[in-house]
Amino acid sequence: MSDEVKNEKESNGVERRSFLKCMAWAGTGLVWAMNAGVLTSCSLLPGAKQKGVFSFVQISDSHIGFNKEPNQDVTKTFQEAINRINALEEQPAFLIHTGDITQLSTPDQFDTATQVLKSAKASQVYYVPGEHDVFSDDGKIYLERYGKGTQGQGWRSFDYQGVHFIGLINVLNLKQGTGTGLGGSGFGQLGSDQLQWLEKDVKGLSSSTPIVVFAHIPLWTIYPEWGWGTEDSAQALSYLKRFGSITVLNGHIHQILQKVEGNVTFHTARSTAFPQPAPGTAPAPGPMKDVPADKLRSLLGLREITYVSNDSPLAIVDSALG
Amino acid sequence: MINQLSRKLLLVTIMSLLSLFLAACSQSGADSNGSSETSPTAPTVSRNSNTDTSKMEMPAKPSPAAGKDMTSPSTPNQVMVENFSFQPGTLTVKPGTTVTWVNHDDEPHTVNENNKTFKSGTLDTDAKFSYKFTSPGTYSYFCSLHPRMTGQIIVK
Repeated sequence: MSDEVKNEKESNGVERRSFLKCMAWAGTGLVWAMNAGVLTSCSLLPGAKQKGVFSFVQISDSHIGFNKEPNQDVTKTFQEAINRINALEEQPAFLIHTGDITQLSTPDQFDTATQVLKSAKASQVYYVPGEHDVFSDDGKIYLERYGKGTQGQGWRSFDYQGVHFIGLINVLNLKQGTGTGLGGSGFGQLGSDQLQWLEKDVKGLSSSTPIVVFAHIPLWTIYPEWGWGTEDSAQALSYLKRFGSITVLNGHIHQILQKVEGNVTFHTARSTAFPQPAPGTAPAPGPMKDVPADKLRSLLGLREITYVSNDSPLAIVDSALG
Repeated sequence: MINQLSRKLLLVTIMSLLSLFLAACSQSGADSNGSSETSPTAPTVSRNSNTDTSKMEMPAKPSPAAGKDMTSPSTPNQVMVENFSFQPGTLTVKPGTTVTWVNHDDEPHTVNENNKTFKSGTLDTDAKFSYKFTSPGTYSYFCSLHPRMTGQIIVK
C-alpha cells in the first residue's frame, strides 16, 4: 500500500535526485539522513555513522492545549515523541517543528511546548508556525518567541553541511474562499513579500545544492475541499525548479502522504497529538475522535524505527501506517 | 496516493446527527436574551464550560420535535458552527438583531467579517460570539483558521 517513490539512480549508483529520501520512522517524526547532499547510506543502525552524514528530525502538529478525544493529554504524547528522539543512537543535528505547536496560540501553551522541547538532546529547533499558532493575534506571540533570526514575518533559511534549508510560512492572513484558483481558494498562502524573498534567497546558489523546504500547510494541493493546499505554492516551486533535489516537508494534515513531481519530493508528517481523516473520508477534517486508546499512538507515529537498507532506500515511512 | 489511506480510516465518526438534534430543538427565544447584547464596536465572546447552564446553552437532550427539519437546523438569530461549517450559511435578520454563533466542533473556529466589521477571536468548543447588526447590508464572514468556512448575514 505504500506509495512507492520512484528512485532514479545515476550510473554510479549514487542517487542524486533523491538524496533525502532516506528516512526511517522514528516514532515521532521523520528521521532523515544524508551525506553532504548525496545519498550514500541510509542506515541509522547504531555505529553506522559516517563522515559527513547527518540526520534531523521533523515533528509536527503538537497542538499543545488540545484536550479532547482522541487524546486528552497531548503534552504527554509530545513528550513521548521527544523521548523517542532522545533515544536514537545517533542524535539528529537539529529538529524541525512544522507548526501547530499549540492549539490556541496562548502564552501558556507555548510555554508548555518550550518546556517539553527543553528535554530534547538536540538543542536546536527550527520552527514554522501553523495556523493555530498565529490566528488569534496574527502571529505576534509566535514571532516574539520564535522570530529570532528570521526574515519578514518569520520565514528563514539556513545552510547545514551543504544543504540549504528554507522555512516558509503559509498560514498568515488567510483569506476566505471556496474556489481553487488564485485569490479565492481558502488555501494557505505565502504572499508576495515572502515569494520575493525566496527568489532572492536561492538566487546565488549552485543548482546542485540540495534544497529542503519546510512549511506547515502542504505546498501541493492534496484536497481542495478541506483547504489542504497552498494557493501560491507553484510560484515558490518555480524558483526552485533548477535545483536537482528539492525536498518539501509539511504538516497540517496529521497523516503521511508523499508525492514526487520531477525533482521535487513532497512529504507530510503525522501529528504528535491526534490523527485526522484521509481526504474525503469524513464530513470535516477535524480530529478522529473515535480512535481506540490502544490505537492512538500508532496513528501518531509513535513507532519504532524502521531501518532502511542500502538496497532499498525508498522503502520509507509509509509502510508504518495502520 | 490518497487512496492508500482510505481503507485504514474506518473510524471516522459522524457527529452531525446529535448536533442537528440539538440545533433543531434549541430555544427559539435565543435572540431575546439580554445578557449578550453588544454594540457594533464591542462584540462579546463568552466561553462557557460544559456545565454552564446559561440561557444560550443547548438543551441536554433532543426533543421529539427535533427530527422535523434535519437538513436545515436553525434557531432564530443563531448560527451553529459545526462540522467545519456555518449553519445556516445565510441568515437574514432585521436591523437591530443580535446574532449569536455557537461553536459545536471540537476544533476552534473564528467568525471574521470580510471587511473586519466584526471579529470573534478564538471560539473554542462551546464558546459563543454575539454581534448586534444595526445597519442594513450583507455581511460576509469566514473562519480565519479554516478559510473555506464561509457564511453571510443579510440585514434588511
